[in-house]
Amino acid sequence: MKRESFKDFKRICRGNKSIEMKKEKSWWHALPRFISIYITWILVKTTISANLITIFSIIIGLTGLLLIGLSKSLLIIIGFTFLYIYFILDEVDGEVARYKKSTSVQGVFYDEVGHLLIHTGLFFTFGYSIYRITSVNLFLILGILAAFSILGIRIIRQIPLIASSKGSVKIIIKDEKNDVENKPSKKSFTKILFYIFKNITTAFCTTIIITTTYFVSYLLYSIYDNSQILKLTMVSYTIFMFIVFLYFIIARSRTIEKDVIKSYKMMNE
Amino acid sequence: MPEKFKEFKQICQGAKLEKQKRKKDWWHALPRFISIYITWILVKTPITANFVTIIGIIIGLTGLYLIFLGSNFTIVLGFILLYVYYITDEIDGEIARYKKQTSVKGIYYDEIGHLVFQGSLFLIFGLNLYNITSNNLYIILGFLSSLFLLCIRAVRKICFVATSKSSVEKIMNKEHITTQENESIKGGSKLFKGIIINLVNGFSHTMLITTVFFIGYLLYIYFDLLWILKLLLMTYVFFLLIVFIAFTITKYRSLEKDVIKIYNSISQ
Repeated sequence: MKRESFKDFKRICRGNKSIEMKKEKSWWHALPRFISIYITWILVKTTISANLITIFSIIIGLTGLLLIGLSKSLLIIIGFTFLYIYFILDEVDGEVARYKKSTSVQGVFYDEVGHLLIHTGLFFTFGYSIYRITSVNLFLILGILAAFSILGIRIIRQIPLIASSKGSVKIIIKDEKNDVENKPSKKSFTKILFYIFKNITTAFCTTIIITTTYFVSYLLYSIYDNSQILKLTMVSYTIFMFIVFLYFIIARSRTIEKDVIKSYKMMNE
Repeated sequence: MPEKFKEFKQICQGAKLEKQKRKKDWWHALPRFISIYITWILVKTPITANFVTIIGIIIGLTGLYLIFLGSNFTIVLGFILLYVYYITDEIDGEIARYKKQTSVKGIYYDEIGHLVFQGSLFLIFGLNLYNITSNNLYIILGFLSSLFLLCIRAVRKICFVATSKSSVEKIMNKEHITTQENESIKGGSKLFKGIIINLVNGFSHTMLITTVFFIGYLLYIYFDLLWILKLLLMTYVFFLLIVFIAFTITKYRSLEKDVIKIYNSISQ
């Protein structure tokens, strides 16, 4: 009885998230989702609302960032643990909302503000903490630059939504609807390679992988007492994020019409 | 001929001018006043709207680079180019509306342009002040203001994300009735609040920011008042931080209205 209902429960909570994950091969969501469903299972039996979880998770995430910013080795580890709790709770709130059918515009708002704060705060905090450790000003600037790029990527992602809401575009969308949809995708070796490359790039732009990378390098730093690793991570990640940002501008301009049609359909469903 | 120009203006700027009147965003008035005459000339050539957008972005970036170089002459020239960018930013839309060329690509270029300028404006001012004073603090202040400005922008767009999440629709239909009944009451304090909001919006707009810093730089160049520039950058950091927090709260309150508005504009 319980086993069967747990499966159903999982299906209700995840909604189309698990299909999305399979389609986009976003494997980095797998771990927090694996854990989150059990927490959701407990939380739906209480009266705790989804929005409360979101607000609570933002507070935990920000506390985590603050602890990392303080740059003491024990506090850094606690800070990272808090960040991971944030990533799990970030899944839990959506699952609770879907199960209790309490999805709301406010919920989306809290979620988005949380992402905005944590995403931009992440690199900034790492930069600040490395600056505290090494007392080199450069890392502070690198941190802000990386935060900048991640924010830029985020904003570019929202452009199709804005574009599809501008009324005058509608006519164009309808015209283009036909010729976009019947394109068979060819599979070749280079294409698969490109696909894997793209998947990994996307993964390394997500906060959970970024956090893990920094966590590993902080651990290496505290074990070997070598700040070289931290410096290297910061410099290479900043360059990486900036390149992705620039690439993203170009890549998105090519797919903008497809994206607009997709988000237009989503809004009209 | 003057009659024809009026019609032309209506086609190019009609909807925008109505919006300007309603929202009282007076900071758009000057570039729009100039842009319509340039559009009047440009629509007679085969120049497309997207081309104007791209040229505008290049001009703006050149302007930023010239300000970054930091000699008195290049700073003034750079600011002038920035103003040219703000005018072209209006022209592209006007041409697109007149020639009926509005396209998703056009919106994309436009948005990218805004992103680049909102992102790098303060950055350039910060770097420039660092070059003058060789104090690292200004780079950080510049970066932070840019970051806050982008955050404000991101918060502004959350309502689009909320609209696109399809499960929200049902809730919206329910609230449709209740939100529209709220009548706006006009009192002294409300008028005052309106003016404050209007000013805050104005000063978070790139064009007014540019103007404020232009005046700051002119004072620095002619009267050697460096402290004004320093003060401006510091004030702006705090100002934008406060605006960001206040904006998040106000956007949260008006979220449902915004979502309904966007939803209506799509399904019209």
